[in-house]
Order: sequence, then structure tokens, then C-alpha cells
Amino acid sequence: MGDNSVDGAGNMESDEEISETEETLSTRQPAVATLEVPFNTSREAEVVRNSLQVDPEPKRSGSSKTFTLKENVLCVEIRSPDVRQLRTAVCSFMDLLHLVAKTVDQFGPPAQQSKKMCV
Amino acid sequence: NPGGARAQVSSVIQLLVETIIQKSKGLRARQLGQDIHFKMVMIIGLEGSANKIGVGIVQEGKVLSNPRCTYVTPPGQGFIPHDTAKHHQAHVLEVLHMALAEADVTPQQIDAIAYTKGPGMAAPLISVAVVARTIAQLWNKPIVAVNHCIGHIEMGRLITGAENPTVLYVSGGNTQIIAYLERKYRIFGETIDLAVGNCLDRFARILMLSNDPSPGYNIEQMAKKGRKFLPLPYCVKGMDVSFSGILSYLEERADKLLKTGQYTKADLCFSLQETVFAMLVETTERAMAHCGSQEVLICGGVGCNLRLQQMMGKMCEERDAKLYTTDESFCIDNGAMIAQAGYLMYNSGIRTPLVDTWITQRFRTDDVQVTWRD
Repeated sequence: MGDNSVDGAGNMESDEEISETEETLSTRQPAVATLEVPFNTSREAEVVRNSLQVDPEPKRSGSSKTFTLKENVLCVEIRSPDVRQLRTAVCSFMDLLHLVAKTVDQFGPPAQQSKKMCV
Repeated sequence: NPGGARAQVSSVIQLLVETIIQKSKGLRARQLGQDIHFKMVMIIGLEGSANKIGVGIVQEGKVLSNPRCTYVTPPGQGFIPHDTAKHHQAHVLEVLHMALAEADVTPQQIDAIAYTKGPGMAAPLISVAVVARTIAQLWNKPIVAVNHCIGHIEMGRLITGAENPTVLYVSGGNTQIIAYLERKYRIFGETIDLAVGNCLDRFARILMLSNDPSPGYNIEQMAKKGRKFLPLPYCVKGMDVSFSGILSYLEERADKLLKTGQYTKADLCFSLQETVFAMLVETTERAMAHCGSQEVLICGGVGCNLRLQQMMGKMCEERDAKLYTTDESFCIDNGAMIAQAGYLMYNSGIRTPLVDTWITQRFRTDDVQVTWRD
């Protein structure tokens, strides 16, 4: 299907390559992407972070995500062994981030919590 | 004045008695007030483990809304995780709006958010789980993580009223024969390789049948026109079934059989259905005999198939047993079934903390403690 063309092309060229030995891979520095996304309030940023940090990255990807909150700004650092995996991790993350942000827009703002029901 | 003293004492006693009555009346009134304000539990359920994205709202056993959107691929193509996830991401919020609007309820009225924890495809499951987590936080409601298979079973039980049936759960992703025993849905038999629905779907791809509304539906319609039966490998192994052999057999021969005109597409559809459904009826009957059960419930997408229902019905008739089936709004993956299972879990006190709402591709039906049944 049309919207798969970018991913398809990328996967085709790198899946066939066996370019490095394991030794080189383990000593190489990770590729890192840092994202900073502002929200209306710090509570909204917290809600988004809570929703996105639950699922671990797939083990085979070798990628990891770290979240920090700076007031109303959600900061995410994504680390991967190489650029191809970084792009995959960042793309899937952006899709989910966009969805969660839309959810907050359409079904928010966060209700007042006298007692936290969702822990 | 003794008369006066007695009068004083009795008036004090009367005052005391009246006070006691007033206080107890007050207590009763408060209790009554609580009873009057007793809320009927309402659960919203989100489902997206395969190519259907559904949101349903259930209140005390009544389905208030159950909208759903299906990702249909072109003929000859199955659905892959990434594309399915993109589809769900694009439609989930719209389906959620629909569910609330059709049920005519506000988020405040909802008691908990149920979602599919697994089993299923990871990317689509995550896409739905993140929305469930988000609305739970936005609306400040607890979350209940539901097993997809148990969603099917509990919706089947609710809709049909079946007491304690032997369950045949058949879909594109699962094929299990289940019976309830001591707080668990025990798997008596299952496929050792492909789900029966997966076998049917992949055969539909070989024939380039349309996937709209579903490949299985189109195989069923085509099979009705079949006249000639092609003997196919029949694979029952004790309580279990196997479909990869029958699929490979067809993959190798279908082209030639059709080209030489020996069989039509309809004949092949007919032959495949007759064979796989007979296997399912045999293993279900074996489980029934084992459990001494007089009830069968068919659930899951393949449960929509009228030929399967007919064959199972014949077996039940011969055994003097009762067959329970549901229509495609509940057989096919939907949100309300997750809400219903969530409702039962919620009522028995189950809550899933946010940190435990991760999804899982593999989730055995018999791993769940069925605390809501005896």
C-alpha cells in the first residue's frame, strides 16, 4: 500500500546487509533522538507520559526510551543501536504520541482528582 | 409531690425514647438514601487485538452501544501489524465518540475503563491501550485489563444465557475448546498450529476472494454453491486439531485443480469448510463427553458461520444437548465483550494499576483467575 513506501525501501536495503561483526556493534555508541513536546499544563504532560511509558520497547529492537517532565514539557530520549532502528523507534513513538495528544484534546482536560482512581 | 416527680421522670423517659427513635430514623433514612443512590455499574470496553477496532458500553448486562470499524485489505492480502495499528490509531477516537453518543452517556457516569490486554498483535493492542490509559487518567477512572478470549466467552454467556457450556472459541487468531472448572476457563483442546479462521482466511487469499466484509464470510457464501467434494487431510490429534497440513495441501494443489476444471472455487470452499468444521465438531463432542456437558456455546468470528452452526447443531441434537450461538455483532471482535468481561471483573473487585496495563501478544485463557464465578 502507498503509505508503506518509505519503510519498505528502508527495510529492503538494510535487512540483507550483514556488515558488522558482533564486536563492533557492542562497542559502537548508540544513536539518540531527543524530543521536547509542550502541553497546556504539567498535569496533561504527566498524563501523556503515564500512557506512553507503560509498554517496553520490543526486545529485538535494542531501543530504549527515557521520559522526563519539565513542568508542562514532556522530554523523551530514544536510544537505539543504529540509525535504522532509531528511525523505527521514533516513528512508532511519534504515532502513539500523536494519538495520545489527540485523545487529551478531544476527551480532556484532566478531571480534578480528589481521590486518584487511576493509579 | 410524688405525682409531679413521676410525671417528670416519665417525660424524661419519653424524651429519651423519642430521641432514640429520631436517631434510628435518621440512620435508616441515611441507609435508604444510599440504596436509592445505588448506581448501576457502567463499563466502557476498548478492543483492537486484530483488524477490528471496537468500543462498547455495558451497564448491568445491557449493551448500550457497540460501534466498530474493520480494517479491510485488498483481495490476496492479509493484514499486518504496522498497517493495522495505523488504521486503529486513525479510527479509535471516532469510534469512542460514537460509543458515548449512541449510549447517550457522559464520562462521569462510567465506572471503569476495560481494554484488551491480549492476546493479539502487539502494535494494534498498544494503539488501543494508550487510549484506554489516557481516558482513564483524564476521567479519573480505574482500569481493568481483560483477556480477549474471556471477553468472547462472557459476552456469549450474557447474550445466550448459557449456564455452563462447553465453549468452542474459533476465530482468525484462536481455536480453543474451553470448559469452566474451579475458577478457571480450562483449555481442553486447541489448535497445535493455525487457528481455523487463519486457515480459512489464507485460503481465501489463494482464491483472491474479497476481504470485505471478511474473507470467512465470502468463503461461506461461495461454499453454498459447491457441489463436488474434494477429500482433504483430516487432522484431529486427541483433543487437539491441526490445520497447517490441510492448508499446505490446498496451497500446493488449488491452482492446478482449478485450471484443469476438475473443481470450481465453490467446490474447494465447500470441501474445506466441511472438513475443518467436522474436525471442530468432533473435538467439541469429545470435550462434552469428557465433562458430561449438555450445552455448547460457539463464539469468535468463525462462530458466525451458519454451516458450522448447522453441523454443531446436528451433533447436539444427537446427544440431546443445546447449542448456543450469537450473531455477528457479538461473534466478531467488539468492544462490548471487553466491557462485559470488565464489568464482571470490576464487580469482583479487580483493578489493574496503570503500571500493569502493558499488553501481551500471548495470554493464555487458563492463566486468568475467574474470581467472578463459583
